[in-house]
Amino acid sequence: MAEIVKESLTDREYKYGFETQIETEFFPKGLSEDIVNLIADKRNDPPFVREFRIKAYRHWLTLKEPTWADVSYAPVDFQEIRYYSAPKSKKGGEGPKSLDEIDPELLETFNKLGIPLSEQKRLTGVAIDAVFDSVSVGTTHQEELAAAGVIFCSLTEAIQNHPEIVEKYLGSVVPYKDNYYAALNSAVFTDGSFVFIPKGVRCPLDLSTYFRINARETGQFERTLIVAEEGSYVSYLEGCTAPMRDENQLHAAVVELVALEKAEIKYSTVQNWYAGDKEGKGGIYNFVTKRGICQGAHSKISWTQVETGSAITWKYPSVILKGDHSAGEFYSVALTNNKMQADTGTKMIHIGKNTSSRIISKGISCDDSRNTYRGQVKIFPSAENARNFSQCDSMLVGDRCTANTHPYLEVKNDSAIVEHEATTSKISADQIFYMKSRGIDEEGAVSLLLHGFCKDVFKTLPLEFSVEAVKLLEMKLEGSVG
Amino acid sequence: MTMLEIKNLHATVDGKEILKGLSLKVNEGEVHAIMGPNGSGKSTLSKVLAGHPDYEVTSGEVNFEVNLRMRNVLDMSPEDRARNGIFLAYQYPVEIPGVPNSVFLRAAFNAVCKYQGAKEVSEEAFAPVLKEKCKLLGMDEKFIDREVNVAFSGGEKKRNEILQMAIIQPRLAFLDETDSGLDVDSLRIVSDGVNKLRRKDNAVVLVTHYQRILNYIVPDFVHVLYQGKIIKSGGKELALEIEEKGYDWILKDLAH
Amino acid sequence: MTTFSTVQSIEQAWDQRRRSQTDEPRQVTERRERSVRKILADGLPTTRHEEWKYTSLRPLLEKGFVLNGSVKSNAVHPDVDRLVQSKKQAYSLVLVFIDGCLDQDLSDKSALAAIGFKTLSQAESEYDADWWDAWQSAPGMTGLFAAMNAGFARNGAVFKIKKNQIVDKPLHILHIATPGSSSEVSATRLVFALEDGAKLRVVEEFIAIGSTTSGWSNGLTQFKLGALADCGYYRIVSAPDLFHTGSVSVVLDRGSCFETFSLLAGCRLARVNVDVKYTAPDAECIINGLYLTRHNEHVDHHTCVDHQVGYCRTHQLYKGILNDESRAVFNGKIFIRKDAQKTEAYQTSKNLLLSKAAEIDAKPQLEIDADDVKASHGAAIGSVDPLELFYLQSRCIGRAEAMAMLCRGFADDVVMRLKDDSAKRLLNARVADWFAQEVRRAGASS
Repeated sequence: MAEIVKESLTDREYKYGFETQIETEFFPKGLSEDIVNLIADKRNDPPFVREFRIKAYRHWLTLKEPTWADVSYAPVDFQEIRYYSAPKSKKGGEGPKSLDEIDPELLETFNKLGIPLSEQKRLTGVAIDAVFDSVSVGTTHQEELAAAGVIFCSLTEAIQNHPEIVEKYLGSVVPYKDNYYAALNSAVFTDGSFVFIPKGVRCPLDLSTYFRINARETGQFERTLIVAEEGSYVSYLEGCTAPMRDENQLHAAVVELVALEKAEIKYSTVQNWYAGDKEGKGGIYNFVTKRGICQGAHSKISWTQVETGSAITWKYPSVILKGDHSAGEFYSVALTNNKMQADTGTKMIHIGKNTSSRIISKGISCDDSRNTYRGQVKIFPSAENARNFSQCDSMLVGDRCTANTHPYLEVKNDSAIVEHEATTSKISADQIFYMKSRGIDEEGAVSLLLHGFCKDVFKTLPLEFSVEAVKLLEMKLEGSVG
Repeated sequence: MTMLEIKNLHATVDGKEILKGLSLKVNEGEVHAIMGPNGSGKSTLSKVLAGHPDYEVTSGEVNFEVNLRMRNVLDMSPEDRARNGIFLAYQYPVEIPGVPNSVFLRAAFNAVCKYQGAKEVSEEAFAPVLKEKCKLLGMDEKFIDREVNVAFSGGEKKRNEILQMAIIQPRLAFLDETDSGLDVDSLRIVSDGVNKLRRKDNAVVLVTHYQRILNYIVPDFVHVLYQGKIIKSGGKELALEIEEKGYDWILKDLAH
Repeated sequence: MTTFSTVQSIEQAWDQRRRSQTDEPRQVTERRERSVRKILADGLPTTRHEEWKYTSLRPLLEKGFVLNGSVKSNAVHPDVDRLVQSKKQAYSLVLVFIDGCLDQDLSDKSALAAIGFKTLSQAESEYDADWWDAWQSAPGMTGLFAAMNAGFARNGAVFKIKKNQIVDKPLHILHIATPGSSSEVSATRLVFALEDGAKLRVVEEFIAIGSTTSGWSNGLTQFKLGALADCGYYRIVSAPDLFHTGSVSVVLDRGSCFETFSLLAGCRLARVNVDVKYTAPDAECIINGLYLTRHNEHVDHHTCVDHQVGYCRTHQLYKGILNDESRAVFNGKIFIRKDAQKTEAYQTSKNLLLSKAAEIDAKPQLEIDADDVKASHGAAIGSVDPLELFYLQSRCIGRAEAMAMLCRGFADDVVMRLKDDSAKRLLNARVADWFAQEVRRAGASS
């Protein structure tokens, strides 16, 4: 009886914490040049990809793990991680040819996560690529997208079927030398999504990738590449969950976005990796490099993120504003509770003339968590009339949590206007009581306050995502207020 | 008919007893004024009635008529007390940044609707109601879009309390020191608002230190609260007497 | 080599120093040694260090300033006397350092005695170890230049303002660099202990005789305020070829008030650290600054305010006007620790860029561990508002003049906030000097 109660309680705290029992193919633990080659073999990488991996691996060996972020954790033992793990295909050999061939266990897993993949049940209006551990297990709505000329598939498929595009852009925004985790990812990346929107096409569907870590002791190193050609538009959504485990798991992804002239990419994330338990045991280390380049004039990239999970988050979705009149946006809600630590923010690098950027960051810290905004706005001498506005607000719930704000404003052009504002507030028991005495229950009161605090970010999310995000935040906040 | 009955109420805050056997009965349609010097327990009474978690009731009863039955208020959550028609206008209304008045008021209104089994109203349907109430209370419509009490002047906060009252339409309004910190014009507007909301089947309790507001909202009964108990009750002339002579004479009277 | 160039040369300088200084009490030498060892252990920072991200020490290290300079200045310069006399007319409390060396003859010895004045070496040999240890553990003392000063400075002064003593006249401390001593570090240490209820205003001014006099001054100025003490501290640096590093360390007791202003209006390379710590509730600190830069000047302000207890208030406003290829750094940190409930802390950094090649790096930072606080920070960087400029021009004012007017207004805004009138007048005059030079420059080039 006690067990059942306990289980239902934990379930409530993190409802995606289940584990799928499925036959899995593993690589041995540890990292070496052999393992890197083995990954390349396994995936049948063409020479340019293999070379990219090897160069990255050798460079990674020369680097030290960064320590500047405002987080503390036991050092990661890179030899204790498996760098490849994939559900075994029942039919042996190749992966599933169509969605109907996917292992029913996997379909069921994604069903449970609210992501139906089978053709009958698939969501309308959204094409989904589902990534399970190291590999993509299927992508919906392929034909509809193909008709529009849009390529949306796993990066593995793209490497095989569109090597010329991948070769042109892979590592062009986040070079393998960029940082420690980017180098690691470049060496061992396994799967991820690939999106190509041809010239003048407005992608008819929202594209979405759902990432699921399942296997034990496995790192997830996905790599996503989105290229939007001249005048095109795409909205891309990403969601993530993982089972609850006592040990920490590493997730070191790289996302690269390229927007050519007048193209627009909207990239939204709801991140809900397992964050560890109340004592801070377990959870995902989320060390991610996300960067977009506004290559062409009048292009636009906007990042929206709702970060509610991971034991440790280290993530700065950035925009390089190279094209004249290009625009970058970053909207973020980051909630930390229990013993979570998040060091997140953005970089807006202004190079082109008349470039503009906007940063809205809302941090909510509860319990014993640490929530840090770290953002850089850099105006190069070439960036005439650059504009930036940043608003970074923190909300504290309880008196044991920490909220930090570290903006870096670097301006090398006198025609720039750069403004940064930051405030701190709290959800107080008084506010909750006041609303209760007007007939609104606690849940409603917290929800109102959350909406009020985060509305500038929520309104940039696609509707169904925004509803999900609010629910997620409310669930996490429950029990912290009062 | 009796609407509220408080019997021998004892309450503490931080372990210190503030209310020491307070009793009070309020009938439909009546206006009561509870007066008393600083520290007599006026604010505690309001907070206890609303169910503030910092105040602990150690003994006594508070019953409130719901659908012709007297129900124990002390067992109810703060929101259920509000939904059943008890409204407290705060002495210090709380600021709620980020939440517009309109959103807040609709949430409160709908919470009451839902509780009473009525249909919730849409934003579109609610907007004209709000406007009308603002007009009724002589308030600027700009009030509606501002964040709840944020950067409001003292008078604006008090008026906002009355606007909430107009929306929720409670059966019992408890006004805690509503007149404190109000200039004469605001006092008139707030009082007019309260008077306009009076009906035969609702009641008003004014908690106040001074007699001034009673010139605008005329009470049927005046009670004097002292050291956590009501020590004297009378008609509206009692308030005038207190205004003139202070509280000391009552104590002297009682001593005899 | 015994210069400020490498860790090894600093170590050699320290060895030389220890051997030659035989008259110093042992515990004083040991205390100095601890500071030096700290530097040697840490190594010299590069721009990879977060605290030195935007300021490279290289120009300073390349100069190779001699660390153990002369104790007594033999500089004779006709301008020194004239300069000091002109200050004396305005202030009766003047303390003079020439090239880092205390000049008692030029200072107001008798008046200074009334505010507990002692030379650094007197004070070091008299006061007990605990007293000095407390100063040593003050905030900011582990910073590179504070530690350099604590290790090497032989000149300086200590003041003890007695309980409830109100010092009416501002104490004016003049650091004069003369053309003769440009290869040595002038390191001076000033210590101000204000007992409960005491009041003092201090102006510390760094100037050079001869417009091209270069050199390096590394000052350390420390304050400890007792309960309800009230102190104003105004720091002015205007010596275009001077390297200037300064560390200001402040400890505030219950209900005390500290107002400080840092004006950097000319220096080759400057780095000023201000560290403030609250140790009891109800204290208030107003921490303002203004930097005016031109040519290839590089100025760097690092401030750090540490709210360890609740109910204290910090108001911070730093402004900068940058011309030519100059560069400025503002790094302001405010910590609000777990127990510091009801803290109020406001921080603003505003900057005007007047030239394409000028650069500003601003890093206003808040770290908050308490939940019931009011805290905000903001930063703005831009050029003069074209609408404002246009408005003035449409009222017959020439463009250059309109520009100057708007810049002056921008600068005055922060100077005018000062509570202390005499400091306001003095700073205003320095700001006016800088703008007058700008106008002359503009005139010369057109």
